[in-house]
Amino acid sequence: TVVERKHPHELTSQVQRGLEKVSPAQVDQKVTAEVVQFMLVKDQKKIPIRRADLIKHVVKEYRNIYPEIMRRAARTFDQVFGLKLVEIDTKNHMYILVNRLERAEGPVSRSPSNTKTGLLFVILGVIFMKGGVVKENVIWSTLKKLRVHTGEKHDEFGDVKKMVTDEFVRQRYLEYVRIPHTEPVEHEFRWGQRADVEVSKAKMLEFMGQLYEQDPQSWSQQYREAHPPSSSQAGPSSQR
Amino acid sequence: DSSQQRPSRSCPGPNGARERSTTRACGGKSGASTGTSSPRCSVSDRRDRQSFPVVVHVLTDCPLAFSENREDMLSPSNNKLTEVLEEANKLFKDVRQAREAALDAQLLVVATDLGKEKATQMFAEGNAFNPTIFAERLLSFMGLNRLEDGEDEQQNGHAADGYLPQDAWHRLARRAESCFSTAPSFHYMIGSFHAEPPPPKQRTERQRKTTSKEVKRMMPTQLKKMDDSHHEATEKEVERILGYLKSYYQDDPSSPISYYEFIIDPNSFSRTVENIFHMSFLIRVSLSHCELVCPLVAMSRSDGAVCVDRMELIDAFEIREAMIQTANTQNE
Repeated sequence: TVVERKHPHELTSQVQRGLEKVSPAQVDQKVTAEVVQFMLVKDQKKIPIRRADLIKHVVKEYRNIYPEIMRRAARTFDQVFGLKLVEIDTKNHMYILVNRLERAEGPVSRSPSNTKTGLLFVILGVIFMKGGVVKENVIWSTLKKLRVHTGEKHDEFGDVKKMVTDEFVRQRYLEYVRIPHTEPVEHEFRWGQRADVEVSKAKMLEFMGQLYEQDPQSWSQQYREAHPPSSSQAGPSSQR
Repeated sequence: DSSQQRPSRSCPGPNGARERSTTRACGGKSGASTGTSSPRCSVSDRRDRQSFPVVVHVLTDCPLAFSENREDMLSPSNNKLTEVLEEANKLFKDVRQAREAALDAQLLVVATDLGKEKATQMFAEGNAFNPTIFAERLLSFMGLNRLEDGEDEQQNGHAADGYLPQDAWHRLARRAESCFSTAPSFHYMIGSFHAEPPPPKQRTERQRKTTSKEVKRMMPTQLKKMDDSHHEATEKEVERILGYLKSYYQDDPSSPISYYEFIIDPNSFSRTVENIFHMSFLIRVSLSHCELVCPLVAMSRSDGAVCVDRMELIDAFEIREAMIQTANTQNE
């Protein structure tokens, strides 16, 4: 936190001074062996990794050269693992790992598919097609039509309401926010920061086209959103 | 929400009064809101309750009207939301008290919320996305068999037509994965320590505890036994030898028993040594009614050294048989 308050120029010089005290081998050891491994293991649960945890458990006394460590870790993820290290929340400093490589085309029988991806697609799909915000009732009724009933234990998903409003929210796939001034209390869903980074709206619309047997471009509004004129994909959400 | 309770307290007969006033208030304007209770109703109410600040009544009534007529307000076919806002703007000129201003702010919050929702509707109007149709399409994709009725669903009482196969969600997930660039989760090839250390720890602790307890329990008893058995064994042996001595003595009380003849076992050196050892106890406790004749000992004593060859003694005394039978052979 001390580092943050410094002027950018001061900061870099401080990092350099810190680096001079440590041997390059030591930094590499920290970066490759510990930060990368810590993040890979942490990513198993898909809950964003907090900078505070990284510093507390791994970086420790090397915190003065933290920016350099993260830069090297990002390079390792990029070059060795084909993953992208993304800071989804620059205010609270949270990181996620995203697959940088294209998915293999065709029916590749890989590890068994995760059914949660299907559930996420349904929810994110409805939110996207409805313009970005959807009341929770819309989601619950849609899921009900897909034989997934909230308040009942589902064979595949167990407690669906908990999975959607707790797990998916903590993983930052979804935002679940109370709508102000409603009686009884109502919530609405939006895409979470992870979804913004991880899910391709263009590919989602493509799948929609397949489901509806129509051209994805017929959803003009969504198509424009999925294909912004400047090819830069929407990064970390700027809605908030 | 306090804003909803307040009007019910201040209005004695809400419904009747409001409908009356609505028709009066709306008479001159467009007929869009005829029949239903409009937020503007309260404008006329001020005439009935002149003792109260004007704006308070209007503003307190408005949120109530909002929540009651939410859907009505949202309908794209009218401009009620705009009308209410214009009315509130007019009234805001008369606002003098902080409480009134706060109510005005609250009204704006609700109005903004409604406006946002209305805007969302407009967005969807071009190609309205219907979640119900979406669900139907998804069910088809997931392999719903609309002819067969799922037995489970019927039993559970769900109004489900068609049977959804077991791998339905897997089918959807496999296709949907293409939209996600999720990082594959990392797993150790040989596996790592499981992230649940308590159970194995407890197990080892338990084992250790039980074994150490058993050892503790076993040790004293074992030692006691050893002690006891050793002591008893010696005692028994001594008694046994005393028994032999007595019986030999009774056989021929007149002649003394030769010490060496008595103790030497011609077949076993160790038995001989044992006999000497046990015999020494009898001598020590002075069971001397058995006289011991041992000229050789006396002789060796004069030499100052005890050097007795067992074999020589066996020859000298012509010992053919042990006088003291071993305990085992005796038992047999």
